[in-house]
Amino acid sequence: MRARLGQPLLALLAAFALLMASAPLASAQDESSEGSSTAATRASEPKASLPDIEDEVMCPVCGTLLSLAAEAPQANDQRKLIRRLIDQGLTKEEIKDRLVEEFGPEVLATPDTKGFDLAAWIVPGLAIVLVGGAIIVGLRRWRRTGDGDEPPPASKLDSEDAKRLEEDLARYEL
Amino acid sequence: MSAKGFAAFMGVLAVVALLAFGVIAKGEGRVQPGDEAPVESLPVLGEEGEFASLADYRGQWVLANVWASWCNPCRDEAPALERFFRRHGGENFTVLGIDSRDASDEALEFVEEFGLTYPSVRDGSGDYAEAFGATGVPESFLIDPDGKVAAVWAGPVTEESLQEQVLPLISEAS
Repeated sequence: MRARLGQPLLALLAAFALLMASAPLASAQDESSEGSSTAATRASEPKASLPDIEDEVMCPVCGTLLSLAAEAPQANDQRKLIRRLIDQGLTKEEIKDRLVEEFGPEVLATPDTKGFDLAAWIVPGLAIVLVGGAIIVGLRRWRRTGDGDEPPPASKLDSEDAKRLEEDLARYEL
Repeated sequence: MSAKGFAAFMGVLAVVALLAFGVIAKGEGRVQPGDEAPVESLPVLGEEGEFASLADYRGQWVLANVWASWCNPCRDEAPALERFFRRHGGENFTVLGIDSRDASDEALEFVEEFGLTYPSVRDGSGDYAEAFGATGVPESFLIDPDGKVAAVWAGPVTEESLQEQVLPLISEAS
């Protein structure tokens, strides 16, 4: 029973560990691509587009995603800057880096995958694993106690009660 | 009290404490006359690799003006600030722009358009303006030679307000 209970928990923990391992890996890939950002690598990447970037950065004054900040003057200036950087041939990641230089890390809509910001990825994942685990454990316990809670078999009626029951039932017969 | 009751009480207490902290942290507000002005070394707009902070101006009156190129009232006050700086700027007094949540190219265009000769520091994230408790742009803070806030303007300054409120203070000291 204990082994059966542990299996789904182990699977959940393994999935979580895999997820967490892939985050720094992705970050490392980003950094390595940053380091070797040449014209050749730029050419191999799809051209950055304003709608694509707008969905991943914030308008710092409006406090919303840039794509949702319709006509705010600051948002328009930010779009102008992004268009200019696209025209210069910068990739999406390079443009996001430039935006961080201009407006600070808060401009990114998604937290970083290193340092303290990593907690923003780990904590929700960990919470999902813990809640999932608690649900599994709870369900198992509920089922186990359910098995033991069957009503005791009815005791046999004595002849007098049986006779009275039959009479009562006969009276209600349609 | 049972263990469960104690845990529930502690949970409620934690939520209340968190809410109270949020309210207190939000309510810090704008710096007031007599408060120590926040000091932070920031890049000088248009001067690659140069940094400046209020500490560099100790012994002088400083009118710290939070502005952004996308802000229309900032356009209204910029000529008045520049004229006042040209007339009264020197060893005893200076204007220091704090270009907040702005794209640097647009900020430089603004400086050129209005022929601003006083220095500005870059506060792309808006964190420094927030340290003053500024809730928008423009806002101005007159800092005395000891680094303390002497006067605050939420909104644009005008020729009149500069003459009537700033000039007497900086003349008095000299």
